[in-house]
Amino acid sequence: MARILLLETKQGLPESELPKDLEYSSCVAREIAPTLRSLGHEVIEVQSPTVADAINAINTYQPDVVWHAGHGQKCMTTLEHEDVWMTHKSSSYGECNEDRYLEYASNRFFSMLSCLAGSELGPRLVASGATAFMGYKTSFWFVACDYEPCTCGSGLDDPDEIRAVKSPMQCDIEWLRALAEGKTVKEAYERSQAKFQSEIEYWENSTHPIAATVLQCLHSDKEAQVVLGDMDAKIGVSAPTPTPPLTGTPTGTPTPAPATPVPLSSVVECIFPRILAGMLTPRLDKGVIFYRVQCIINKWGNAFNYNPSGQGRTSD
Amino acid sequence: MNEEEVLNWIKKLPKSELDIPLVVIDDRAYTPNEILEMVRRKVGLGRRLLTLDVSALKRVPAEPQLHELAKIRLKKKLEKMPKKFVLARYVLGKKEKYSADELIEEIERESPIGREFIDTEKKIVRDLLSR
Repeated sequence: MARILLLETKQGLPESELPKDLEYSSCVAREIAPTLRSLGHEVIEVQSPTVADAINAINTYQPDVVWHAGHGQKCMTTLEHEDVWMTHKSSSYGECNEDRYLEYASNRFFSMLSCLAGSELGPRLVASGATAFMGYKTSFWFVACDYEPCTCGSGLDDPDEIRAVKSPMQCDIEWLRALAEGKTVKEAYERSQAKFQSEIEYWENSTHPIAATVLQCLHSDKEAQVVLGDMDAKIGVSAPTPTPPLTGTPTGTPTPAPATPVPLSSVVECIFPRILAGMLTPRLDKGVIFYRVQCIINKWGNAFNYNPSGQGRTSD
Repeated sequence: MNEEEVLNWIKKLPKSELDIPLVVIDDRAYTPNEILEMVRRKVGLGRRLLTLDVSALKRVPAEPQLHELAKIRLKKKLEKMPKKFVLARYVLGKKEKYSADELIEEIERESPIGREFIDTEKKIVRDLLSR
């Protein structure tokens, strides 16, 4: 069982020329959340996440996999309202003047639906300890409606038009679905590429006027998709414990590390999440039954597993 | 080539491609359906096509012609796009959505976005001609 965090962004810029642009992808992720749960995984969904919401969710749930859609550049990705999330120091874009939140990469799988981030940020995340990264090295193109948002086909009647607005995103999310089914990083990438190909074949045999445009997106996105990191890794499988040497001096019984008490603020965070995170009650928002009890158990576990050089909190 | 050979070639192509220019002969681009029609009528270019091998239809044009063919094809495809739709991308600090007319303009002036589309289209042409 793995913990999968879906950061379901809705809109890039507050006054975007394309309203609900990110929701075109997040609605597809939301649609497969029940499938991921049925496969035995814990799925945490955060709506319209700012960076603070994302960090809070990562610290609270310690997810193995993080999926998000957000506007990107080679060295940067963003969340709701282009809130700058992960960056690495680079000359490729003016605002990439520091490494930001890369410590959250450690031992995690990232699925990043963000233009260009696969060319620089992805490799940097893997170098920072991410188990795997899937993203796009050039633009990720999709079909949208000009005036009224038609996310996941809302407001559209024609089944082919509904398929058209979801098509590239369905191919993207296939990587996550395959991982959740127990496939390796490489197998999941192959599944995603195969999904791109099957969508290409569907549209090649369509005479619908939107077909040629969807094909353009699919060909471009398929080519842009990259996967990095440990190709044999699977989610929900712990890293193998190193085998102790057969010879050598016994080192004696290790002394257990002293338990760190659960900070009072964490307990308050679990009991009054709406006040601290400014969001819906997580039981409703994230589909976690007995949310408060689960949250306290997680906090308690994290306090015991806290690694000062690893995935601890960072200053904002 | 004869009509049957052209029909067999056409069968291997996607339906969506049959009315989009794909084959370049004497600096002019023809759709698969135009090629079939000319061979059937056996007049003009059709008469000449009858003397050529069917492999002539699968020949990838030289780079300058391929480049122009990609532009012609993109224009034709984008003109068919229903007006209520746009193409969009998740990029930071740059234009995010394009109407069909805006994209045709980008392709005409070969802007970075236009070149991105032209390059993808060239790959599509090479793939189609290899079938």
